[in-house]
Amino acid sequence: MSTSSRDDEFAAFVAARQRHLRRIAYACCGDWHRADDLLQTALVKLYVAWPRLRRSDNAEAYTRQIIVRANVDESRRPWRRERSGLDGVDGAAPEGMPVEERSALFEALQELPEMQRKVVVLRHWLGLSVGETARELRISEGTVKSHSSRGLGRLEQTLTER
Amino acid sequence: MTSSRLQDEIEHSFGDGPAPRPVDAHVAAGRRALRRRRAGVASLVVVAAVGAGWAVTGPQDSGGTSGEVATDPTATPTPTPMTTPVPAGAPWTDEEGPVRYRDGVLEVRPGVVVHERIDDPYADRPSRASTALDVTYRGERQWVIAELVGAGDDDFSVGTADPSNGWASFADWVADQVDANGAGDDGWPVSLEQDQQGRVVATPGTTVLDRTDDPRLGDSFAAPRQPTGAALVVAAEDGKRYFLVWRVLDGGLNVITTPATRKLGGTFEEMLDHARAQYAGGEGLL
Repeated sequence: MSTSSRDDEFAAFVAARQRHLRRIAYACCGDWHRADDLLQTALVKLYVAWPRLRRSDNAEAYTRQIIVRANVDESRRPWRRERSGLDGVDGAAPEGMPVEERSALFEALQELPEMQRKVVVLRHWLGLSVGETARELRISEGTVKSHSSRGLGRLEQTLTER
Repeated sequence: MTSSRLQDEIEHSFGDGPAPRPVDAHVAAGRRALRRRRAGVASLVVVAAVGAGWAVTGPQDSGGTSGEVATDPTATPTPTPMTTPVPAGAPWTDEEGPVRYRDGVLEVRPGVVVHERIDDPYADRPSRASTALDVTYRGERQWVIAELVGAGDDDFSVGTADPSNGWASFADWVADQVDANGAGDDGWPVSLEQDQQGRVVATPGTTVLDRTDDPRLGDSFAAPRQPTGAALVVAAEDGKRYFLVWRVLDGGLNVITTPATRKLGGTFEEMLDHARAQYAGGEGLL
């Protein structure tokens, strides 16, 4: 396909789905700047793979998968851990919306361990099935159920205590 | 809390944050990534053309202050000997690796041979500089990405990997590191995928010449009850033959792709034997 065609189609997809995908990234990491980085990482990869993915009509799922996996994998890569003080990835205080504007639920969600948070986001916000969530996060269905149960339990507990 | 209520609560628990990056910026970033992936390889000539402070070689492995650009007989059909003046610098210490930064400029340790180079792989990040290199360092081929993060020359990170079948090329390895997605885009054609039931199936257009779901590659490849398999395929993407072994880890498909060259054997059984031996020896196919 021509570069122009790729650009036009890709731009149309980004314009249509960026808001939703960006919010997924934000829900996963709790930091808008980090969310923008995650989204850009995913969209760059999507652009490269666009000819293949546009045929399968699977661009959004592919991008979402990269977002949730990238955030997981960031902490798994040894040499990523060597980096320090860059772009808020070292655990600096989340930026974006002022704290008072974020709901107690969102705060509680961000306090969940990473995988529990992602399971809750995928299962209970985006409505993915157990199997879909398992594939998305590359974990077993049993682990999805376990994280889901624990995550919801901790959310309830946190919100009750507040 | 019901599922639908939780869905609504999460939906309304945060807004849209600051303004998103413009669509054009994403298109431009994608184009740059595609160019890097296609161009990928920078020849030795490019390395030399960058000039002082880059690649030097000499009889010694440390402390060199001048010399010729390292030559790689496999990198260009007609390698041209070139002499590049290199500024004097501090001696290299044992603690330093194949590269370091001085005054914000990447220096390559004397004696290190640079085969390929990709400039600025992390252009989309706020680091001061970054460079990816395919080098031979102390007799070992290595892929390296150096990234200068902070204000000082010592505030940099270096990631390395052994060249392998894990990625189709140096450029693919770099692209994978840059993407940092862990989604397994190793540059090889995607010949297998999981269907809705989690079964491992060929991607559309891929021709499976042979396949087994019981390759017996040993415990070093996968735990006894983990689903594994092997196949000889003709990839839809490039029409070439590949020998694949796979395992399903935590529900996700992990495929190791190797070009089906004579080195692996002439038949599927011979390829399986080769794979078993490689994994039994701890080396694997990567």
